[in-house]
Formats: sequence, C-alpha cells, structure tokens
Amino acid sequence: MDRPRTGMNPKRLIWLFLLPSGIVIGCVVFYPFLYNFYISTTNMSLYHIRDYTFQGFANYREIFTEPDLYYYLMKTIIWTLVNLFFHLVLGISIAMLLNRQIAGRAVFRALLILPWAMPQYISALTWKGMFNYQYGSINLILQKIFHVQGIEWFSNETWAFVAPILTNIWLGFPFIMVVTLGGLQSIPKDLYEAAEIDGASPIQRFFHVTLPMLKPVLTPAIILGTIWTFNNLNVIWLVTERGLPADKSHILVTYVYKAAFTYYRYGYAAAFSVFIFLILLVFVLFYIRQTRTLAAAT
Amino acid sequence: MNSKCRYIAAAVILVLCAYVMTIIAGCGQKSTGGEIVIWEQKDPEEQIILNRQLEAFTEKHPDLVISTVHFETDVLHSQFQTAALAGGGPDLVYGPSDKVGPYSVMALIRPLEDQFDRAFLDEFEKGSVPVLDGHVYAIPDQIGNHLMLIYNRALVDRAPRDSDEWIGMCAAATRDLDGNGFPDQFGLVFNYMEPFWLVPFLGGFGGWVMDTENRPTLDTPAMVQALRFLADLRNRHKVIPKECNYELSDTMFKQGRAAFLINGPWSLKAYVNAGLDIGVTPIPMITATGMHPTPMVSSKGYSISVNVPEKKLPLVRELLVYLTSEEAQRDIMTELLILPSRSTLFRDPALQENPILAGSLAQARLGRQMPDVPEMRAVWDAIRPFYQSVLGGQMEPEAAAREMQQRAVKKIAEMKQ
Amino acid sequence: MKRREQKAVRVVKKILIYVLLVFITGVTIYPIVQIFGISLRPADQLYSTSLRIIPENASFDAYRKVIFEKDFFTWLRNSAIVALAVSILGVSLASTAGYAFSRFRFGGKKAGLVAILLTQMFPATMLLLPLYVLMKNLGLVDTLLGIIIAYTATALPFCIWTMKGYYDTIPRDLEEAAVIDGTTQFGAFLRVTLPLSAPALVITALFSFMAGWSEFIVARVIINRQALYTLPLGLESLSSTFQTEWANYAAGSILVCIPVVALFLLLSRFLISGLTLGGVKG
Repeated sequence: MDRPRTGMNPKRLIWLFLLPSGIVIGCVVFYPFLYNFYISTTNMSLYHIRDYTFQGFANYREIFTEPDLYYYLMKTIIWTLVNLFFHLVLGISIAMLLNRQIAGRAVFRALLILPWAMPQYISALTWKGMFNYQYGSINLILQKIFHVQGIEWFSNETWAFVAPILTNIWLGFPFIMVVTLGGLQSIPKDLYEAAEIDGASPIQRFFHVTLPMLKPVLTPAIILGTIWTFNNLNVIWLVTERGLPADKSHILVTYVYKAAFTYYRYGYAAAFSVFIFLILLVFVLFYIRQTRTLAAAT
Repeated sequence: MNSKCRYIAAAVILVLCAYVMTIIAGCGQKSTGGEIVIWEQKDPEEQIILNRQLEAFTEKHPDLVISTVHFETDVLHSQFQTAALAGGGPDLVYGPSDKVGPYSVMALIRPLEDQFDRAFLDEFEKGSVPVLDGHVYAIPDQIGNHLMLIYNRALVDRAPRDSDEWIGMCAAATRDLDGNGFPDQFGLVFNYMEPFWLVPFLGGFGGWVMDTENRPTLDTPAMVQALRFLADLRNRHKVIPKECNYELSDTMFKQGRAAFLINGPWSLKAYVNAGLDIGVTPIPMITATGMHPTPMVSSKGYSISVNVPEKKLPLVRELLVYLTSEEAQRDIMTELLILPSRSTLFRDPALQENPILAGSLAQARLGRQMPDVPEMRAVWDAIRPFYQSVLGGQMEPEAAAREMQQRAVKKIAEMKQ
Repeated sequence: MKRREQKAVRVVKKILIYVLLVFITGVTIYPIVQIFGISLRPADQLYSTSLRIIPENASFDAYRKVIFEKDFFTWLRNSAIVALAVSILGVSLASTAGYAFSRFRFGGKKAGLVAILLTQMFPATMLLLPLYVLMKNLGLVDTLLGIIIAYTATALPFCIWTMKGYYDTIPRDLEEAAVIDGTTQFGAFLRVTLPLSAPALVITALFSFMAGWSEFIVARVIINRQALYTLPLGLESLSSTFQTEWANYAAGSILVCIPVVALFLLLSRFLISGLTLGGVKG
C-alpha cells in the first residue's frame, strides 16, 4: 500500500489515537490495582489499620482453606452462566424481532429498554416485593390464574437463588438487545439472499449467517457481561435481603465486601479480590483463545 | 488538511466546554470563612430539621458554608472508613453509637474529653455518651433506636400485661377476612429477618449478647428459649405472616392489617402521618420469667474526624454544641417523636404529656445499652443465619445457639489477627 | 393459489410477532408499572397487598414534591453535565482507539486489548479506597471532573472493544478506495469509516451515557457538596435504612428514566445498516 500522500505519519496517528485512552485507563484503574496487590500481602485490618506489615501469602493460604470456598465458587459460576445464557437468548431474539419493519417499533424499543434505564435499587426492591410469599405478585398470579400454591421464595435455598437470577435476567437483557440491534446492521443483506438461494431455512440462516456475523460486536458484550455478572453483588444483596435464607444466597464477591466492611479485614479482602481477578483472567484468556477472537487481530 | 484541523479543533473545543461546565458547576460555593462538611444518615424528615438548624447557625456565621452529605447507614459506615483512612472525608460524622467502636480503634475520630468539660457532658443522659477505653467519642442528639410495641387502636383497645395475654390478643386479631383460606389480618408483624428484633426477647429470658469482657454469650438457655418463643409465634400460634420483612410489616401496619407491630422510634411519626391512631407501650413482660424484654438502646450523635485541622476545631466544636443543644433537641423531639439525650428534656411537659413519647420513654428505661464495641458486628453476623433457620423451621434452637456461638468466636478471632 | 397462501402465511407471521412482542413487553414493564404505582401511593408504602396497579387515593403529589421541594433541577443539571461529558469523551476516545486496534499493526496489540479488559475484572469495592486517594492527590475530590474521568475510564474498555469489533466488519477496501482518491488515512477514517459505523457509535454513546447517568457508588465517594449531587445521589438522599420516602423515590426513579429512553429513541435513527448504501463489497 502506498504511503498516504499528505497527512500524518501512520505511526504518529496510532499514538494520537491510543494515548488519550491509555492515559485515562492507566491512571484511574492501574494505580488502584497495584495498591490492592500490595495490600493483599499485608495484614491490614481493624487493629493494624495504619501499621500493617508484610505477611507474604498468608492471606491467600487462608482463602484456600476456607471450607465454603468451593461451594460459593460453584454458586457464582452457576449464577453467571445461567444469567448469561438467558441474557443472550432473550436479547438476541428480541433484537431480531425488533429489527423488522413493523409499525410501532419505536414504542416497543422504548419500553423494552426500561429495565436498563430504571435505577437498579428500586427495581431490585420491587422484584423482591413481587417474590413475597403472601403478597407478592408472582405468587398471587400463580394462585389466581394457575391455581398453583405459592412458592416460599425466601425460605427455600434453591428458590432464593432463582429469585435474584430472574431479577438479573430482567435487568440485563436490554443491554444485549441494544448491542445486537447495532450488530445486526453490519450484516449485508446479500449474505442472507445468497443463503436463501442456496436453500437455507430461516434457522440455518440464523446460525450460519447471523450469529457468526454478530460475533465481533457481541464478543465484548459477552466477555464483559460475564465479568460484570460474576462480580454483581448488588442484585443478590437487595433481592434476598442480604443473603437469605440463612446467609446461603451469597456469591464469591460478597466475601470481599463483608471482609472489608463488616470485619475490617482489608488485607484479606484484597487477597480475595486478587483471587477473583485471577479466576476471571483465566476465563477471559480461555474464551478469547477458543473463539479465536483475536486471531484476526493482525 | 483543512478538514482534519477543523475536526481536531472541534474536539478540543468540546473538551474545553465540558471542562468549563464543570468549573461553573463547582463555583459559587467556595467561601472565605471556611467550610464544614457533615456526613449523616438521618431520615428525610430529620434532614429537613437539620437543614433548618444549619441555616440558623450560618446566619450567625455569614462566611461559613456547611454542606451535608446523606448516606444510608451501612454505606455511610463504609464510605467514612474509606475516606477518613485516606485523609479526607467530612469534619463531622453522624451516626449510631455502635459505629463509634470501630472508628475509635482505627483512629478515625478524635477523643472529645479535652474539647468539652465534665459539666457539659453531665447534661446528657447517663449511658448516651459513648465512652471507650475512658475516651469520649461522640456527643448525642437523641437516644433511641429501641424497639417497642406499637398497636393500632382501631384493632386493639389496650396494652397487654404480659406475653401470654399478648399472644391471645394476637390470635384473636389474626383473621381471614375474605375467606380464601389465608389470613388477611395478622395479630403481629415485625421484621423477623434481622437479629436486632430477637435481642429484646433474649433479654426477656434473662440472656444477653455479650458479657462484660465483650465475649459473645450466645449458647445459653435464654437464647434457646427466645428462639423457641419467636419460632412458635410463626409456626405454632401462627400470628405472624410466613415471610415478613421490614417493608412488609411497615406496609401492613399502615394499611391497618396488623394489630401489633414491633418497631423503633424512627417510624412513629410516619404512622401518625398515615392517619393511624397508635398506642405505644413496652414489649410485654414474659410470663414464664417475669422479666421485661430488653431492646437495645443506643444513641445517635456527632463525632469529629481526626482529619479536621487544628484551626478549624473551635468552629466545628461550636457547631457540635449547637446541634446537640436543648432547642435543637426539642425540635426533633416534638416534630419527630424521637427521644432527646439531654436529661432536662426528660422532665419537660412536652414529653411527659405526649402518650407516644411517654410510652417510648417507658420502653427505653426498660431497655439495655447496645454494646459499642467492634466485636458486635461479628456477633450480628453470627446470629443472623441460624436465627433465620430456626424461624423457618429448618433448625432446632439448641443447635442454632451452639452454632451461633462458635461462629461468633471464630469471626472475632479473625478480626483480631 | 400459492400467492394467496404465501400472503396468508406472511400475515399470520406478522400477527404472531406482534403477539409475542406485546407479551414480552407486557411482562418486561410490569415491574416498572408497579414502581409507577408506588409513586402514586400515599404514605410511602413500598408493598401492596393487592394486585391493583392504580392504588386507592392515588396522587401525583410525590412528583410535585420531588421536582419542586427537592433540588431536582440541580441534580438533573449535574447528571446531564456528567453524562454528556462521558458520552462525548467515550465516543471520541473509543472510536479512535478502536480504530487503531482494528486497522494498524503494532507490537503489543493483543496484550493491549486484553489489558484493557483486565481493568474490569477487579471487584469494584476494593478499588474505591485507592481511587479516592488518587482523586485526592489530583485535587479532583468533590468535583464533577473527577467523576467524569472515573466513569470514562470504566466505560472505555467496553466501548473500545465494541468499536474495534464493528470496524472489523467494515471492509478495508472502502478506506483504501478513498485514500487512492486522494484523502489521508485520517480523512478516510472520518469520512468513510465513521459514518458506516454509526450503529456502533450508537451503542458506545448510549453505554457511556448510562455509565455517567446512573452510577452512584463512585459518585458517593467523590462528591461531597449537595450542589454537585447527581441524580442517583439525590435519590439516595431520599432513602434511609428504614424510613425511605418510597413515593418520592419511585417518582424520582421514573423521572430519571425518561431522558435515557428519549436518548435511545433519538439514537435509534442511526441504527441503520450503512453497508447497504453501496460501495465496494467483498
């Protein structure tokens, strides 16, 4: 390729394009990162809040000997995968429906983005109310319309896990819907026509044309969506009223929060955060490799 | 070349605009006389009173700007830790006395006994000024936080004398009004998800959460009996709803669908505002033991952050005295039905002649002071899961009491590492 | 015969789609309708014991209180400033950085992309204390600029990756054609690539806006003065552990949604396929 005739040296252009983002992200995020790595090797806690000392990997050893660790890790993974699955299924299908030329499309779009637009705090509390055994809408509907006995949502460990999952699915699918709507625009119509001529059914067209073409745009949403869901403490906290029943509705990241702010064990909490970080790092690297996301990045 | 320059220029101008906007947003607030920042967790109606008091104060100090930042209690706690540790945060932090323990250990708030003389401190009700290791750490503007028995006069005509009578009255008031097989009106509602509501009954059976050395005392016959008492209310007498949290009990009481409610003084005004005719009385004496339930009483007050510079201290101190003065407390008392912390106001007719305030005071006198020490957090956390299991019928009280104690001891040891 | 059958099938399909959409939308907005109901309910009752949507004694009093008795316009102004600034910064920084990652070859590219993601993996709770220290040292505590920078930093990773992903679907031949016609690389970027990536810009703009509009954990740590409260902080002040003013809170929440929905509708116009507008295709 010929060098552009006038204008900036490509190398300078690269720097110009990358530097501002780099500075912002670097400063604001990397310093706190490094700080946490450092703290995780100390015993910073209530009685050693300013005079903490280096402890090596003592905190990490303690994490791995925590008996409930694997239980909560499993729970977190299930939480993440179930949410991700439904976010994708709902988000993509609704986006496909909304991509057609139908009357009132704008109204549907406006209404379906509301779960994302509404402040999470009150949405979560409203859902919590809907799960109430006696007065919640869900049980009321179950009783009055389906004649099924209401579910004791918060007295039962399994249902108390399902409740925040349902809430989080509701909260999260509009995001995937919007990303998919954007991604669908990048698919040239002739690809569909060519597939139709080749005799592909709508389902085959979806899996062989739409999905692969959506991959570049959906991948960041999937990776980041997974990470955000994995670390989403808020929804579970609010819907199950801090861990019902009997503190069983926790995921991994609640450990961090409780260690830091209930027990003041900052060193331990930092180590736990690093642990979570490493888990996610492994997942992301694995996912990128498997889906060959960066294979074409040259 | 031209278009590129134009674009770059446009981008730069946009960023400059954003910057200028933020400057404009921020200006107009800096003053010459200094600024005092208060972080608080007061209820919205109390914030209104606070703002009024602050306005009156700044009239006397025209160059001073006072800002308040509101947080929910637990959030205030974590934010203050974060900010004060980093050397920032507010000048005054307002909150319940049990937060004072951790703050003092972390050296985030100043000891106050050198700022105020003995005579001043003696004007406050005994036990309301948090003292740890001989140091005073906060000046209170109210005492309270104690749970009491509130009843709807439309459904119940008098206060029960003891717990047996009380249960009988609750059962009579639990009715299925529309015949669908589920009760629509309950005798009693309260937030039985939180161990805070268990504690009065623990005291009523002769137990308590900690001993004088701040060690947890959860594995006791008193705890077993208290757990059983509450579990029976749900599973045997069936006078409370199957799932009841704070908001539900609040809503049901406001709708007139509950005869009795156990709640604290922060809620009284709202019920009055909702048009209910309420009676307030101490939680009834436990028939089996003859003892009155002892809810935890604590105070809420202002602490001074260690990050306040020396030359600002006199002004901050003056503000603190003003906000806990008799006039300030009288406003809170009469408008919000909250008990004051100054002993003189206890004899004030405004309190004595108000049946709600008098009932609240009667309960407070029967209550017991909430421990201010950091270990309490571990204790709450230890009680909660097992308490919920007992109420849900998944665990026996004896096993629960044992587990609670073990966990509390473990968590406290971890905290002290 | 076949034509009529085909038409019938199409009509049935359309009706089915409508029914499906209406059902999904109905279920989705049910909680929102409940929140609306809370805002109309007198005496701050979060829950209700009936399935009624419009409660008894409904009134719009809460809206009046939130707008006129609280500092609603201050909160609105501050949030607008922050969200718009984050959108502008997000779009400009992400569109350029994403382009660099998509089009240019340079060492450390893959590492750079992954590094950007790393920043999102850390649980946010532990980042608050050092973030506060950092802002304090930069003198940005209690300023809107401080939170604008913080929000931009958290929104950028997603935006950069999304822009890069979208650019990857735009054939380079289009840019090369433009360069051959006499513009610079930068000019090709501006005049060819950017317009074609309008849908991705929509996603980026909306996401950045939301990052600035509805976040409150970081805002709580950094903002002190009431004059700088953003909408989420303002709503927070209506809540407390037990005695939240639910009607006001719900009313405020409904009001907070409206600009987001309006922005989405506005930006939806740009969710069009640019590649069908002709040009060189592979």
